[in-house]
Amino acid sequence: MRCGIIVKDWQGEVIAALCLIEDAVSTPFAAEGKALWRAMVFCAEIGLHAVIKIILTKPTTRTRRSPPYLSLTTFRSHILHFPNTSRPSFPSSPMALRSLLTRKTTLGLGLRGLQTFSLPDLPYDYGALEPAISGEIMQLHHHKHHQAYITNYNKALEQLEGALAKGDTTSIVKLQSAIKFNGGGHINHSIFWKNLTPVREGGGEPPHSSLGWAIDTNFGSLEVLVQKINSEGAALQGSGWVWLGLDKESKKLVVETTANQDPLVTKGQHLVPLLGIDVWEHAYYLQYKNVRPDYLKNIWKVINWKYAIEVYGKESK
Amino acid sequence: MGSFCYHTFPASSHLLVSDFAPGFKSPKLPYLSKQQERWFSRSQGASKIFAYYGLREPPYKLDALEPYMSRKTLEKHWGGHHRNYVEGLNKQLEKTEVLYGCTMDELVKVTYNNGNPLPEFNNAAQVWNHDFFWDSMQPGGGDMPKLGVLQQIEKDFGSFTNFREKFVEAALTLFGSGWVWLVLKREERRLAVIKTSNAVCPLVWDDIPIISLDMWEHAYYLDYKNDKGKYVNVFMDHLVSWNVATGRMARAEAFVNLGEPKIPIA
Repeated sequence: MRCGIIVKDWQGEVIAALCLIEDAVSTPFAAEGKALWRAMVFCAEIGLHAVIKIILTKPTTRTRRSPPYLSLTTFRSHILHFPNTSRPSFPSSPMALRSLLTRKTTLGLGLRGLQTFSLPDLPYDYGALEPAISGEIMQLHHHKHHQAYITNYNKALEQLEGALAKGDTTSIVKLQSAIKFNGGGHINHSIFWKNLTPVREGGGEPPHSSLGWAIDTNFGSLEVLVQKINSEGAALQGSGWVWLGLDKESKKLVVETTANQDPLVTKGQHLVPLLGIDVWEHAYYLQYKNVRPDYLKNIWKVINWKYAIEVYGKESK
Repeated sequence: MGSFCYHTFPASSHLLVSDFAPGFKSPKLPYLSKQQERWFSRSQGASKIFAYYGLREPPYKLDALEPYMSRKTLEKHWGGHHRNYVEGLNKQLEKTEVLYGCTMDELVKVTYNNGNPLPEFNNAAQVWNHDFFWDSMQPGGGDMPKLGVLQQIEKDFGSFTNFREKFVEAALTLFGSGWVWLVLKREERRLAVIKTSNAVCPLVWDDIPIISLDMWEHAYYLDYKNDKGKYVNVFMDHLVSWNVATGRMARAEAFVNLGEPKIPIA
């Protein structure tokens, strides 16, 4: 098959072109996919940072009877970044390729080997945690707040990379607080989404097995633990998180609070978070207004103890 | 806001001192908590002095700041959060003997304890901060400062636009909960924009605040959800009270020498 690739910059000026002949393919659909793939590889080869739009012309198949025709198929893809380390492997099918391109989140492959982070999907609908946490809060929390942390984290990392390359120590040090805040926000919220699950999928079911036993040993009973977490969460001034953590060194369970978006490790390098509850006001204000204790009381109905058990099992070995 | 006490104190504090010397009858005060009413109706016995703080109303109706700050926000913010801070503070003060007799300003400085805050600091500082915040806004506010304040801003920031940019930037880059202030720095004798976390306020560094903006999420979440930028811009365009700022600057100039006044030549 014959493949022609034209690369234009964002103003429409042609910056590169490529004509080549590829191996014959069985269907026009496969030809489309292969041409698309070759175009992406070409962009990576010439060192492009990001590709915004890929326009495919439908492959022409010549037969004796019908004249050739052209039609435009536009793939709207959000910013694609290309790796520089290795040639990306061919996806298994053209359909996989299309879904790769039309995904709403960025692909997370940096050009200079810098990984960019993307918003993880929620394993449940926004409204699935009602009435403990309203769908409105979940949507804002996930789609706006968490996304903002990720965006700013990526930005800070990019700036850090630039500062590192220049050896600009002042900037490197100045960026640390932004990285701690936004990166911490990303870590904490990623754990938080896994800590919650709808009631119909086991939310609120008390823990059993090793973790249940450990809770009884460390705190007396689950009720005592819940009381402790709720009181520490309610007493926290300002914004922060309240955690149930495992101290890997002493093998004990601990209840800790962290301020702002500090991850649990800032309270102890051997601490592993099992459960975290966000007590920033954005996590509950629209529904519970200023009554944080009510939020803390109700969130236990959707807590995913299965995840905590998994992490506990893995980390307590 | 009437109150009885033996010592004179500046009108800006809201200290209510009750005393039970015989023949002493104090008037019915608004916002008297149930407990205070019990104290008043008790027969004369011990002449112990208790200090309590009351919840001061904002100088405008709760729906006066619509549509920029809804009545619902004010009800929850003033009636919920601010009131909780006042009641929490009163509860804490019941237990300690050392801390009463102070004006609000003194209480904030004393409980800050030079960086090692006492447990009462949070409540005391937040009560002070919120009083200051309600006063810093007015219906029909915003616009530009006038006369002396504008001159000082232009002297210290270059232009009003520059100051506004700095203020908005400080508000948007604040991590977590906190406040943004326009302060008159005592040592440096100039205006500055500073941001503080949680309950800290510039009084603890002996600076004089002129304007404040509450960047705790409860201040804007009901109206603007997570759109902090819009909230800050609305505050600067429509809510901030430069009249109050002028008054505060005038008072501050009694303590900080900002240079010779510009006397117009006739």
